[in-house]
Amino acid sequence: MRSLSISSSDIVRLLKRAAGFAAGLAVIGPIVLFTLSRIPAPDGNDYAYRYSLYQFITRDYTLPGGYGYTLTRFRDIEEFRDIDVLFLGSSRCYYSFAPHVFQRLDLTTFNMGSPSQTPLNTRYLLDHYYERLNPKLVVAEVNLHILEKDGVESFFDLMVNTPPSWDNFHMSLATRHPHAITGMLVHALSYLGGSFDDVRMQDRPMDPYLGAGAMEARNFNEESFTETPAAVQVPNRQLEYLSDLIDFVKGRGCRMILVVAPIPREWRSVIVNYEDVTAEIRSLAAAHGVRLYDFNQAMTLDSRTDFKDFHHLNANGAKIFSYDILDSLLDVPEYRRVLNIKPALAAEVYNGRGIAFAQQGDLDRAIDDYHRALALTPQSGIVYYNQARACQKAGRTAEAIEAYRNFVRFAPPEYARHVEPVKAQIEALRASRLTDMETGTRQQVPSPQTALSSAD
Amino acid sequence: MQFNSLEYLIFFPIVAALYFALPHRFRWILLLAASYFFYMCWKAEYALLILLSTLVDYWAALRMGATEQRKRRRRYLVVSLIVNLGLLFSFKYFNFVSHSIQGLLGGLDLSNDFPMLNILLPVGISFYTFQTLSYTIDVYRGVREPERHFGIFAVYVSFFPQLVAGPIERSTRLLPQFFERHGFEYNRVVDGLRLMLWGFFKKIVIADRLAVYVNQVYNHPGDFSTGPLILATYFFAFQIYCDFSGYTDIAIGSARVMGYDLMENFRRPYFARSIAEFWRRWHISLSSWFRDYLYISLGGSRVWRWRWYYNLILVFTLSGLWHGANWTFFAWGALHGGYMIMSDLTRPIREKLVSVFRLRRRPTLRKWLQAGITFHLVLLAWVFFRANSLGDAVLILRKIAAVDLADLAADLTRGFYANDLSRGWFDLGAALAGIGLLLGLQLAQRRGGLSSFLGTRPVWQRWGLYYAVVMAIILFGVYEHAEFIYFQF
Repeated sequence: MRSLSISSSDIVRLLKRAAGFAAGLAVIGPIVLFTLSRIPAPDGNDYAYRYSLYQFITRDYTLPGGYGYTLTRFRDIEEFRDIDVLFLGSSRCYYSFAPHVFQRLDLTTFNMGSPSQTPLNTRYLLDHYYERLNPKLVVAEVNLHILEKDGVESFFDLMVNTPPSWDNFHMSLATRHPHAITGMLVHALSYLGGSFDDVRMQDRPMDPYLGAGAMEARNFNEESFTETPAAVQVPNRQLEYLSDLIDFVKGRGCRMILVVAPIPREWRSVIVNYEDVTAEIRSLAAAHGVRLYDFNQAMTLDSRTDFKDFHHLNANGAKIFSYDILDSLLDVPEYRRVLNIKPALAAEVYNGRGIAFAQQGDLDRAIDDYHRALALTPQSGIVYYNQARACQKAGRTAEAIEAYRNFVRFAPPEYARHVEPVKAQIEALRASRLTDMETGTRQQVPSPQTALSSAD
Repeated sequence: MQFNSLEYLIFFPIVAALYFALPHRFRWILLLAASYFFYMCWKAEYALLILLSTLVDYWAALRMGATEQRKRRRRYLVVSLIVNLGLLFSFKYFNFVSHSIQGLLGGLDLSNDFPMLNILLPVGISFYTFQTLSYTIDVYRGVREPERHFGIFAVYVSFFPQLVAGPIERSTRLLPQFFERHGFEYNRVVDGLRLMLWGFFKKIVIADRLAVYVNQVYNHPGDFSTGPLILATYFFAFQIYCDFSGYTDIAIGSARVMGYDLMENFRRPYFARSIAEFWRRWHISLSSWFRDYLYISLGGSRVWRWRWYYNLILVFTLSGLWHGANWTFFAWGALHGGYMIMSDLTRPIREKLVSVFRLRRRPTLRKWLQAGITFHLVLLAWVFFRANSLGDAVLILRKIAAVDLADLAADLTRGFYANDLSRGWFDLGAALAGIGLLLGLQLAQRRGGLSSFLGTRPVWQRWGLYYAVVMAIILFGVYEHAEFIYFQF
């Protein structure tokens, strides 16, 4: 057996060599990375972003500009200050929240969703952008399949499409991925003597950018569904980042909700532990005093006509879903107060949607919406008129008569000419009700011509 | 915990540093704690299975040691066999057997409600149960005395470098090493670290880059034509070698840093000149286990010819099934057993061919021919090993057999495509370069090992090589979903 003194000198020798090796690596590493980033991509393609040998070696397939307008979005974001609602999440986020629906309530929104964005990525994006946006409400979209990821894919998309920053550097360290960390170095080095403004991207006509970070899809889902039942496995790390994210937002006095956006029934049915994972996230959120809305519980959307593929809503679906979100928000007095929502505007949103339902023949839901509108503005003659009409069509004569009477009571001056015909209508309905009761049959009453909205 | 993880890069230096800092008499406690921690990072409950196996075998061996009566000794051996094989069966084979019986009865429409266990396979169970079985069998045979130090025995069963994927050690080799005092020897430590680095390179750079292509093709065999299917099969041969031997190198290297000498598991198997030789060079710790504890007990080759053939088929199909409860592994094992029998049956013909073509005068050509044929036989068997189902394997072989020469080179790079940015040819080049590097190094190693080669080089060359390997691991490495293949066995 060797004596202890020889052993310890061996240890010192090893430690010295290891330190020397590490120091050498700290010098040689960046030199190698810099060199590789300066050698052009060997396929000769003219990419907007300077594709280099480095990307080829590391199998980095990030598309300059990004599949989801990341470049455009994060240039756009510089224009926004002190917004009402900030949306966070993955591609499901920028496809799902239709900005024009929120604009009807005079709400300014920004959609900070980006492809495959995980809570890890969102956390560092907030470090960079939150203070300036200073939102009143944060809506974080929760996507079970994205929660499974490590955030590397999203990091590359964000790194390539935003100017180099310390927050991006921190994000790269958080991924603990060698390519994310070296990629960040290469990215920063590649702008020595160049400018981020040179980066450009092509538009995608079927998925136009709508402004304020949102985009919409103009196609129907024609994919075939081939997935088989499987469980999602969410790593603890992403849950910790999610909870960190909530702390960040709540800590700045901002309201926040979590939203599980709709997915096609087919997808929902193959995620075998959907309920368990959603419940876990719900209780995590509840522990921070934040609500989770799961829009797959009472899903009414159609897998073909309301979706662009099996992951994302198209413009149809996004509109319907965004109204559902508004609904949930308006239900909570606190959010109405914080967002400073004018009751008349909110009522008009319900009235508008009620008209849309009525046109589709979905009278029950139309009537529900009119009720909501009236709860907010109990003196809106217009809404009473629409309600009456829908009730009449649905054969709910008593309610129709009541609503027509309210219209007569609250009819706005510009609709004064409708008052007399409506009175006649009331009489006709009453007569038909009496006949109904006597003979047990129903008489046809001529229905009124058009629905009324304040846009008329 | 995975070897190729950040956690291990922190865990291992801490354990090694503590190991050398502690006096010898406390080291087993450190190793035991570290090993259980290492395992419990994955799924804590399953450490109880290791503990159970350890307790039963410790007790059974002690009881065997206390008596000379063969009958009583046998009784304790049977207890150990039942517990270990029972664990293995319940966790690994229960569903397979249940499912297969159900399949058989399905034709008779007898039942459709067979019990299935909804459990995760405990990582490494096939490895540590075999390792502790070798101990009880050795004690039963009187090869060694039962170990009285429970702590040391528990370390032997759970020693973290080789716990989850071998090499499957023998008690006669590894157990005594835990009683030896290991000082810090510079050359040995550096040698171990070097081996670990090479293991990481093989795993992260060569195997995982090949895996991208192999997975794409083998998971969708219907979508690919002959060319990619053949290429993917060659790639898999090198993927699984680099994956498993890379793991083994990290295991042996980690143990060597702390002064332990683990057994060799691979000896350049693809240069073997016969299937029998391949099995003396591939996963040596497992094939020698089957040889010592099953094949020889069955009589080996010293029996009547047909009985010998039966032994071969039995041992090889069992070693196939050891890898997993799937008919693909069964077919893989049976095929290798079949090769062994064929090699015996065709011996006269082969002798004749050698003399007709006068191959005896050209020993180099003969050697390469033998190695080439052996490699391709092994390659054919790998199709069954990797395919997701027997149906897939048959489909792949059919498509390969229906070779269309014009079609062979078309689409060769498609397995690398990640999206519409097609850079398949670059990845193909990198993959081939990786394989070339491996084979080149192995050829060079014929004239002495890697360590002795490096030792004679000047410092700047050695360090240059280290930097190149580290940079290659960082840049060329693949870091997604990269579990070691042998973890599932």
